[in-house]
Amino acid sequence: MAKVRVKEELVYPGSFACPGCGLMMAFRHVLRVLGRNTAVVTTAGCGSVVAGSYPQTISKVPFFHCSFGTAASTAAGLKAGYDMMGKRSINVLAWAGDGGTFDIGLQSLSGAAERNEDIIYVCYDNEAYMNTGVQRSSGTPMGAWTTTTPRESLEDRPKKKMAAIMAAHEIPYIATASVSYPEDLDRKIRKAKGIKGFRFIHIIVPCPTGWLYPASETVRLGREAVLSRIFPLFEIMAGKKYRLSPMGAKTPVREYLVSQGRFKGLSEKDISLIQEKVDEYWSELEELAARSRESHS
Amino acid sequence: MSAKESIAPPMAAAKMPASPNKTGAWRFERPILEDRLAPCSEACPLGENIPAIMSLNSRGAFKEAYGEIRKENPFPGICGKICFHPCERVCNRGRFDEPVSIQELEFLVTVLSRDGVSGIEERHGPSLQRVAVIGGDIAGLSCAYFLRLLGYTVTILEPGARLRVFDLPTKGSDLNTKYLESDVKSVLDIGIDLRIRTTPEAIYYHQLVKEFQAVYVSPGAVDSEAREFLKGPDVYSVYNAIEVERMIRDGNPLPLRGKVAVTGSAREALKTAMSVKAIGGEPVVLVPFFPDDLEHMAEDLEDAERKGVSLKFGSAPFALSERDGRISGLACFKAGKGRFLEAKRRGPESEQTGSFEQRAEAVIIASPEKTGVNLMPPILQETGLVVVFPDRFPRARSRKLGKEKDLSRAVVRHMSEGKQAALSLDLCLRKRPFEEIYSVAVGRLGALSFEAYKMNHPHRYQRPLGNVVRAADLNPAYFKKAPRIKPSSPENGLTRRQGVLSARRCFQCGRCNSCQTCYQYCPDLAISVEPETGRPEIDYDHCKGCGICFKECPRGAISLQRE
Repeated sequence: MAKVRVKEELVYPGSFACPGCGLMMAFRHVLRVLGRNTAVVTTAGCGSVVAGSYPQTISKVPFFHCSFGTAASTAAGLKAGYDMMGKRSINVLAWAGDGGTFDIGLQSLSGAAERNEDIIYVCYDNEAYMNTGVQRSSGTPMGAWTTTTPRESLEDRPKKKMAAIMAAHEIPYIATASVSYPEDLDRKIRKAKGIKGFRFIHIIVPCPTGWLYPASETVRLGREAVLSRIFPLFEIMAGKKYRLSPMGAKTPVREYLVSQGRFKGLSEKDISLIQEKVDEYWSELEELAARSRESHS
Repeated sequence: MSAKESIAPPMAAAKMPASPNKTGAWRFERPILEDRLAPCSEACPLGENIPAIMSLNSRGAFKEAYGEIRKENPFPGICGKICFHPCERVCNRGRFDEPVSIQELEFLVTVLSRDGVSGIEERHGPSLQRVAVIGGDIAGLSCAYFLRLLGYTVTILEPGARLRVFDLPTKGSDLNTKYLESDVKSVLDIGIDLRIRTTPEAIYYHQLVKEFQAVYVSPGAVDSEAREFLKGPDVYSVYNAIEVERMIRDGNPLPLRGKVAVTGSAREALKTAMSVKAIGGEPVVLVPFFPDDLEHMAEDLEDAERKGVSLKFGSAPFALSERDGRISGLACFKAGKGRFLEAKRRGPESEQTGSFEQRAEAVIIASPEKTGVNLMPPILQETGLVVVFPDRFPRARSRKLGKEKDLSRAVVRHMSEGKQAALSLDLCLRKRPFEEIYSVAVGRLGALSFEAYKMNHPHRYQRPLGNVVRAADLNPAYFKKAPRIKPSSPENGLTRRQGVLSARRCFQCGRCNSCQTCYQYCPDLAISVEPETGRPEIDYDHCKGCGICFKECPRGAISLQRE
């Protein structure tokens, strides 16, 4: 693995995140790349819980807690405020979970994206409402157990394709990333930092508590998710130009599924159905990437 | 409060860092960063620190790598060509794609840095002590090399016209005369005296004692000149089974007529004891086992007892003892039941139940290859001359070698034998217990580390000697498949560039090379990187014990310990 230069950490240790938390990993990487000149807005979710309870904080940069579902609009307002104060160089980061992005925050997110507000919106996706006790969100993948989709009636709808929704807004930059590939994650954040306009980054953060696996497997699952293409890594520039980052040879999705307790109830038939869906999505993406290579060459 | 701040509506602002929360209290498994032993180092009969050597090679630092090899191996040029490279057989990379070209790299390192001979880095102990090495074969030179590095004044006594190491067969084998000569030269260059054409009188006991404090008899010399040497005071009534057979056949069994202690592998010992009994001796067989362990040979045991052979079970001989310049018997540990079987290692275990001395006028070591006896150099108390005989491996005599495979094994074994002799001589001269030698064993396969031995005294940093990294401890996700680089022609070996690329294939099992993977992935910022060395440090106040660093470390340098 290539060496990443050691930069200043902008997160204090001592958070109340569960052991092996993928979100904490993502947060420290994002902040480290964005640097001191950053203000964070977070909506309700794991991200606001682990950020520390009054009077403590884990963040060395300003960290603003807003009401649920308003991360994008609050961040837009904060950015406008900074602009009026003449502090134009400050990066405003909206930090929200999959619930605060896919479900409750979708309206404010869509509005801010449509207006092309100059903020970086990072969605840390642990695929359910984890801090309230693992309830299903529209980011929960097909076949997964949550407390609201118990073993008797597992999640039967596929995961919402958030990147496609964002692409429809034709914003300057969209990327997906995984905590298991820190160089790739860092590169994407750095790229986003250099772009003006609305930037959306979607990071998969494995969650040992909600996905039901041993805490030490976080990085391995983040890697499996990418390699099996169940969470493909790609970038979309200007809503049209797709670029894939496959990270390695394709592995069967089965290996990813069977090592998690939340997929325990799946039959072989279900697994092959999921594999089909994954292949379908990947070939769609490949097609889009090929088309954008042609039109830009 | 300034006017500017009063514009803001009242709101709660948290300004305390969270770091006083000692989340380390949640932990029930503690990750520990400690270097572990690579399987190649364990398998190397000389215990070379192969990951360190490969790390230097991968940076193109071949001269430094040569120095690193020479810490454990006086003959990199010879080994680079004829060693049977057990290191590559156990290489963890072999499970992944193909083993690292350790031997070819060793040769390349020698070719590129032959002139960079390391001097005597450190002396310890009184350097006035003089040691004689009889016989300049591989083991003799190896012993001389390590003794010299320990600070002794060493003289090689060679009865022939030239060092017998040059009698090694160079025709029809990979052994290259050029590298043989340069290796021998670089060993002698560190300041070893050489006397060739020594007369038999010069190695008589009473001659040696005038000049030397200790003597090592090399395996090549043990058959002929040592016999001359024994003619003197006749202290060494120690024989191996082959010699006993020959003495009986030649009708010269006089020394075996009295009380004879027999040890070695149980079956061989019994057989030899019965031959001794047949010519009128009084054999006592010493075996570290108990009759229960030897059920498979119950009949033989009964037979021997009927014939009057006395058997002493549970006695593990560890040293020869002498009185008035003669062998007086064998010092033995009383073995605890089961100890020796489960350990399957030479030498006594810690929980002996005591020791005793078996009196005898002669000692026979039957099948020394498998014996539990370490020929602890007996101290001749009157004169203070210490004499070490090599462990006598029947196949390891350089003059009797013909086949390639035997040659390479014997040569390498001689090197490690010489090292063992040097270390045991040093222990003996410093009046330390022989068991200390086990503290520098590299893994469990019998190799000794000279570097660790040297470092042991001031209790400084030691290289890892235990806890071998297995293929399952590595994380293959961090390695890309890359085929082994074949040299364009076997004679010339690898080029410099190929050498660097080959060394980069090494996984560096068990050796933290500051890749920072653990630091990158720690969710709790409990791992920081020491800015100068690049070495990670774990903050146990905040580490929650998730085990990600342990799982992700590409080379198994982090282990988890239950708390």
